[in-house]
Amino acid sequence: MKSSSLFLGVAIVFGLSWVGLVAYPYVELGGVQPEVSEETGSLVPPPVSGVAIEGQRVYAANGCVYCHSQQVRPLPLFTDIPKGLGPRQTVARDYLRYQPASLGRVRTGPDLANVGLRRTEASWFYQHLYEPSVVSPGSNMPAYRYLFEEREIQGQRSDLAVNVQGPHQPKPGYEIVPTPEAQALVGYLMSLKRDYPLPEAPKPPEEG
Amino acid sequence: MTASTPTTQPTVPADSSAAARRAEVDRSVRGLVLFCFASAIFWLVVGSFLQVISGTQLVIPSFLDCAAFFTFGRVQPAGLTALVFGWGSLAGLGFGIWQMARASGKVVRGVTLPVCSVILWNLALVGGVLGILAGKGSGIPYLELPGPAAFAILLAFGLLVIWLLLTLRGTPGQPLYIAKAFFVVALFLFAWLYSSANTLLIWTVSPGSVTGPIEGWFENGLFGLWLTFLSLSALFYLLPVAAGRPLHSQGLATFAFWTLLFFGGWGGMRYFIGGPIPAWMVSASVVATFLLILPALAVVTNLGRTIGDAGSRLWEAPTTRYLIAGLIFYFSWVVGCAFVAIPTVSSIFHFTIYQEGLTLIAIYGFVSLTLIGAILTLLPRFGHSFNPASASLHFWLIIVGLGLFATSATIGGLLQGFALYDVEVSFLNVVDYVFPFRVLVFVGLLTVFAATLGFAALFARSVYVPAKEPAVPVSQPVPQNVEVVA
Repeated sequence: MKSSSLFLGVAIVFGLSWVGLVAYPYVELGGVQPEVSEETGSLVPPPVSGVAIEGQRVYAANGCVYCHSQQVRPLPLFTDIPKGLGPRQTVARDYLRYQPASLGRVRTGPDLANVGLRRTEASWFYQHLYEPSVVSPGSNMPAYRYLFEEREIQGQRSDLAVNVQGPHQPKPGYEIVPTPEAQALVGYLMSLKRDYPLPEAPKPPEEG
Repeated sequence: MTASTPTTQPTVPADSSAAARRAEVDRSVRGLVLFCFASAIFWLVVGSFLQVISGTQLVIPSFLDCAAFFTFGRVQPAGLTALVFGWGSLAGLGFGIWQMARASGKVVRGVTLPVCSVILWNLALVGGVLGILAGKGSGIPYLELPGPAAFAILLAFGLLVIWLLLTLRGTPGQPLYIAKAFFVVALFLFAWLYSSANTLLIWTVSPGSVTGPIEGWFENGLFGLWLTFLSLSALFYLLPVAAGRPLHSQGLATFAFWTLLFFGGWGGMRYFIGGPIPAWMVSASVVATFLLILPALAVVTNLGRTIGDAGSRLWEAPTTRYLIAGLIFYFSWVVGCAFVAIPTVSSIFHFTIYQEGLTLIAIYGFVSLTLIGAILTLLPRFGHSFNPASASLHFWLIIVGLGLFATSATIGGLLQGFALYDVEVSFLNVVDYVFPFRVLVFVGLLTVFAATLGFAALFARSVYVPAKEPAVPVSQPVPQNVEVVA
């Protein structure tokens, strides 16, 4: 067989997968738009703040995806919904606002697709990131103290100052405050709420 | 040139002038090929070391948590990047260059361009891996390298391929051996995979809704096509020669080549079963991943029949033992992927330590055992003799590590999977269940790391320290002419 016809064959055979799994989704899924929900009258997926977009980069750069997934898989085969990971399954449109989406391959840590629904206090996120094992005993998450800084208290204590418990207390007269990166990351995590209605992902009927 | 008929004793030259010619060809690419191998082994050690660090952190989360540079989420992808783009890719390229030189029968003059390409590749990877550790990674598995580093790697790759095609292209009418077909097609596929994925996800910004399909297609292609083709190329070249027999069946090899290419491209959505991508894409991937057992069976049958009763002799030799084990782990890995692609199985095993174990088996079992075997086979031709007992020790260390990965993947994956599935079990309990298996993986990573250090030392000693007796005579014939399509 001539090498030119070999490569033509290879290009066609392999090209099929490229057309199906790269080009088609790029056009089709990349082209989905937010729309006004008939149910709520507001835009879905809702716009996310610039801080959350910035936080997505912090999430990516620190490799959160190597422990945390962000996917809720549907009933009846999967138990993600009864386990409280989200009210409905996640679909492509849910990730429209983020670049890139961090779908994840493993659940070494819990799924975060709807962490913003489960936890609504920024202070909880700060405490958890600063020293996970204090807030969630038994957690195997590393501490992200490098996303915080210790600084001298100037007059009043900062609103953002972390209520530190455990071994890594600040020096007397000092406080622990999140860096802009940590603030963006928490903004991002708190934005992760996939509870708005989407026509392609109906909520399963409540049981009982 | 025509292929010599393999004799039962391939080390005895059929024709001494042909043997002298082969020796001359070997000498002309010696520096380049050894440079590829040395770079690859450097990355094998670096990547395995980073894997040991991240493996420690999964057991002791507070390990090295003082600095951003060493946080788990950066060390883990940095290690995987080093192993895939440094070790597997450069070792496979080194072997492929030697193979192309042998097949063309040309004495290479001037290797400045390819040597510069490999230097550029290494520099890009040093910059890229440090970039990942410094927080410049993209957060997309295996596409972590910052844009400029990925571009530099593609540039280095492009220059290397252009040089290969210009200098080592076979003469027209020459038969295309299956081993060579796997290698040259691998080059084509890597260029396509890496440029396409980087263009859409790294160099430009795409909406998150398309990240999943493209990253899945890329990761699947990176392992299932690029690294698989490089490793199978080495197996198809070396095993028939070592057995001293022609390949059992050309037809089976052709079948394996095309089915691997076809199904291999489609398997990527198995990472997202139940995930946020169209259901038809997932279904296609499930079927494709399952059907990949067919080419794997064809490869194993073909090479197994080729080896035949030479099997026990090849298993006793410390170099070919790596190749046989590589073949066995190739099959196990493909079956392991197909198993977890069954949707019901996926509902339990997906997201667990099973997936991590599978990746380690692909990297250390299939790719590393095969390519270490290939390097050890070529070493006596390029370097000096080495101690077979030491090569044998490294082998068993890696096998112990792989055994631990496989155990933790199956039993640990099962326990973790059922715990994740069970509505009554809280997440922190899941962490407890899987903990002992993370310890096993950590011990496995340590033994594998020790083996890589030993292998690196063996390589260095063989290349730089002259032995008392002369190196093994250079006399291997190229395998019989197996064309991809008759």
